[in-house]
Amino acid sequence: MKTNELTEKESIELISKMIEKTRNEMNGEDFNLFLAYGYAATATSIAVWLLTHFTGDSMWCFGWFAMFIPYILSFFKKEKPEVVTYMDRMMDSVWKVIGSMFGISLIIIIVAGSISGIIDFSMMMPLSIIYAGIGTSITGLIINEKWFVWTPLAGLAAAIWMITCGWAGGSYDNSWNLLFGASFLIYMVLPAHIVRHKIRRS
Amino acid sequence: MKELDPLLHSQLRLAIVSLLLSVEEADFVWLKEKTEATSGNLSVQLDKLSEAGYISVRKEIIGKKPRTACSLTRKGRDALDEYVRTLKEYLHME
Repeated sequence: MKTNELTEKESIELISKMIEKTRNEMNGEDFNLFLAYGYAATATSIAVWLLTHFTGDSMWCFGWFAMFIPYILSFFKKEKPEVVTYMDRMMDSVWKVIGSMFGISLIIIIVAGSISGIIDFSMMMPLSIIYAGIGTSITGLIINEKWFVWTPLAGLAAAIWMITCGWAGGSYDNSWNLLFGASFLIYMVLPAHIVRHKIRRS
Repeated sequence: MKELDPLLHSQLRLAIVSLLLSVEEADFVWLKEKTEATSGNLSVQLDKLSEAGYISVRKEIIGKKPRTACSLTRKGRDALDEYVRTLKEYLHME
């Protein structure tokens, strides 16, 4: 491309052409993070369920802290994307807020538990499903994909089930692990594959 | 009739500003690929736009590689807006 001057018509055409090029960039989302977290949650849920089921030791539920590993690793990621769209920035901000919600919930549970003498992380399961579901729904609204917008309702149902069990005098049981994995499978893995397939086809 | 902004009325500079209009930030490599300009030419035009306050240029080191990130400023956005309005007048589109 040269720096020579243009006619008025050429100018308009050039502006349109460049805007069109950036539009293609906005369709380039691969949803790899959804697949990474979705599959990680599903695999962890099955592993924790199996270990708890066969050993009878509920301490295996601490295996869920492995979910923080991809998050921590992302801080060491050196590469930066070549282009940051407004959509990317908005989604990044949404997930930062969601990440903070996880962090704050964890801190409050530890502090309150230290005061009361019982640190019970079981509430993190329904809360995590709700938080990640909110993030997924907002992502769906931003990118205008109904699969991401509505599938988190399945997770919400699982989370309310867990909370209701707690209120009714029940507590964490091994089935929660599978419910957690199933929720992530439904609202992260499934929509990510569907939308990726749609993008490839178009 | 108003004159077209001479800084924007150039193929490469107009392409750069138009590309930056739809994104929040873009790096040098991406702009080079999209505009199909040479590194030297692109660099010179980015400097001109930056000196005019139309774009902001941030240089950083990521890992061991230098990275130049560009974004459109409010002044640049207004200038492009005005440029398009003037173009429409020339073309009797308004």
